Amino acid sequence: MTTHRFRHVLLGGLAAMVLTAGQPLAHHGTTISYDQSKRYTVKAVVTEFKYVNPHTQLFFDVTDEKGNVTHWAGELLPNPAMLLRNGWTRKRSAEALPAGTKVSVTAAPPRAGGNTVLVLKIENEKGEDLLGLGATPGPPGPPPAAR
Amino acid sequence: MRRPVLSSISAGRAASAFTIAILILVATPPVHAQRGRGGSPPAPRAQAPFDLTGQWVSLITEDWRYRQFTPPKGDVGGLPLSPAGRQAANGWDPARDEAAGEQCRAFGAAGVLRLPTRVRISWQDDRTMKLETDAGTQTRLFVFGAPAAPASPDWQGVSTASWDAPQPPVAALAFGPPAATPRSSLKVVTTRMRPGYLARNGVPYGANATLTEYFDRFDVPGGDALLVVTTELVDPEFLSTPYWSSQQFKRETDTSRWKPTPCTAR
Amino acid sequence: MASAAAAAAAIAVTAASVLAAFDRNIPSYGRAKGSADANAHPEEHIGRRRAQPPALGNDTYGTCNPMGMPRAILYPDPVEFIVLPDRIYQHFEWGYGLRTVWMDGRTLPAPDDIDLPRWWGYATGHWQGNTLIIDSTGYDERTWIDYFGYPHSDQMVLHEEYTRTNFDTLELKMTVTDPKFYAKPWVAEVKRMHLLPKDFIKSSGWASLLEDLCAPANENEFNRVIRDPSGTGQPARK
Repeated sequence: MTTHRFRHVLLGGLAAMVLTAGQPLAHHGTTISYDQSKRYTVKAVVTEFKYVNPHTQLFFDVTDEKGNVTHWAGELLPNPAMLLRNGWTRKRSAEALPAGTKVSVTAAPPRAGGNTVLVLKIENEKGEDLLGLGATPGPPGPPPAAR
Repeated sequence: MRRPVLSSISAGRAASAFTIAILILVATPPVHAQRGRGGSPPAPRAQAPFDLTGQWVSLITEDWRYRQFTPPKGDVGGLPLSPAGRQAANGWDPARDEAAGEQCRAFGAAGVLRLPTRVRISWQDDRTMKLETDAGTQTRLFVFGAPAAPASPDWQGVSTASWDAPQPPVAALAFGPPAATPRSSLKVVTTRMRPGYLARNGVPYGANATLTEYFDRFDVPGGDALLVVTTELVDPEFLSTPYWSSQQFKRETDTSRWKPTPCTAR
Repeated sequence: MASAAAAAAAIAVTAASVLAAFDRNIPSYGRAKGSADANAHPEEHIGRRRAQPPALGNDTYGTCNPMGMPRAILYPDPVEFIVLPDRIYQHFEWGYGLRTVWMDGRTLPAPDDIDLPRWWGYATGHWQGNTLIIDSTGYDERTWIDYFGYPHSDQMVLHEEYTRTNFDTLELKMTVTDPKFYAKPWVAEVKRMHLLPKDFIKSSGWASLLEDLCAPANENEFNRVIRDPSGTGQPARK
């Protein structure tokens, strides 16, 4: 019987630290679908939060001054692995974003139009930056494509 | 660094071009290494990646009380002075400087840009950039390549200029080098300065000091431009560690406010 | 006369197929295709300026196929080296892919002798002083050299040299030789990697690589609900 001796060496890509984008590197090249120069911030209510691969997802409702409600789907740049690295476990994230939570969402609209956005920042009513997304907020405004 | 470039292919070429024709991606050298057929490399002036010329005025915010006014003798703040430097600073005597005709001690290359001043930058020729200050009416010449050594050290020393581009960061996701070329700066290294003051209250630098400056231009929304001079002064005699500072200037389109004044020791 | 014409025709066909391979790949990284940003950088190769939303792209990794090499090592996520007596495994966190490098002295087949291409290729390695040298070939043509969709043919041979320049820095030099698609060997930019402490990555207090694999069950749902709507502007399919 042979015994195998294992040597494990764990290496990380140094390139991650010198990325000039200043954002977490988007898996799947998703960012190209959205126009981040048109980012906006809007008040919303969480309907669902999914802590899943490949991207965490936030579903939220926005109500305009007339009382019309529109439904939105958003992906977040980090996947659960990245959230974990920043201390946002499933439990902590779920506790911060149950359905009904009032939040301020900063999002970038899709270039092709529609109600699926890139969520850049989520703040709760106390102004805390949830999930550590940390992006700069956009100008206040209603989402550009209300349906 | 090489990156692949699509080359165009003509199907009608002779059979001897077969090898070139089927291979679409050819590594090419970086752009700035290319030369005209049999010609000399482009002059520094032509190579300038951005425009520094024009008139600029000091924006003094950081270290305001050390730069806008002459601080009291011995008040050196956080400057990394050696014991010899501290002793010299405590022995500052402006009357002695005036008597010796050395009012310009604080207006030498390692000190003049710390003073409130207007600055005019222009090209004297294709390989010499000129920087003039109205404070102290000083002129600095930045020579690309090897400058001529002067007969004896003067207040502004000898400055060697180059366009400095830092190593780009290692690219993520790409086999080849990163797509973005990092910005260049104007790098100026000055030596052989006559001993002077890096602060107005007699904080000294000596004849063996080396001044390294990086000039960068930033364009801000609204049409303004900022000039930032990032400086490292190394003086084995008077400084215990290198002294790093940065000086900001704002572009001035109204050039009428240029007011040359003589050096003062106080 | 006839043979020159035949040679010219042969050139035209081969050249067209090579260009077609490059144009066929639709990456989602780089400047957006046809955008003002892309047009403002003519000095950059077109491969870096043709990104489209993943919904409109055809990156095989987007449907959970393996990335192969050298692409897998270009992503800035951790990779674990597992050294056994007769082989070294590179285990990539991103994609949770496993690449085998045989260290038992076997001969690397010539590209034309490969019966079955592999997504992760065929790799052999040996030590030269302090440098680990890996040569590999037999990569499935559907893998991309990097995230910007540069193609390779079945003739590609990848040469890697790993040197530990100090305790916690690994330097990697790579060369792609693919005479069918590239006029000269393509030398990569030198990559550097940093050694991570064993407990650097933790999930539920469990230190290891994260299982960041591409699972079709997850991807299909994500594509339906987010990727395709955002890329096309159409509502999600039911």
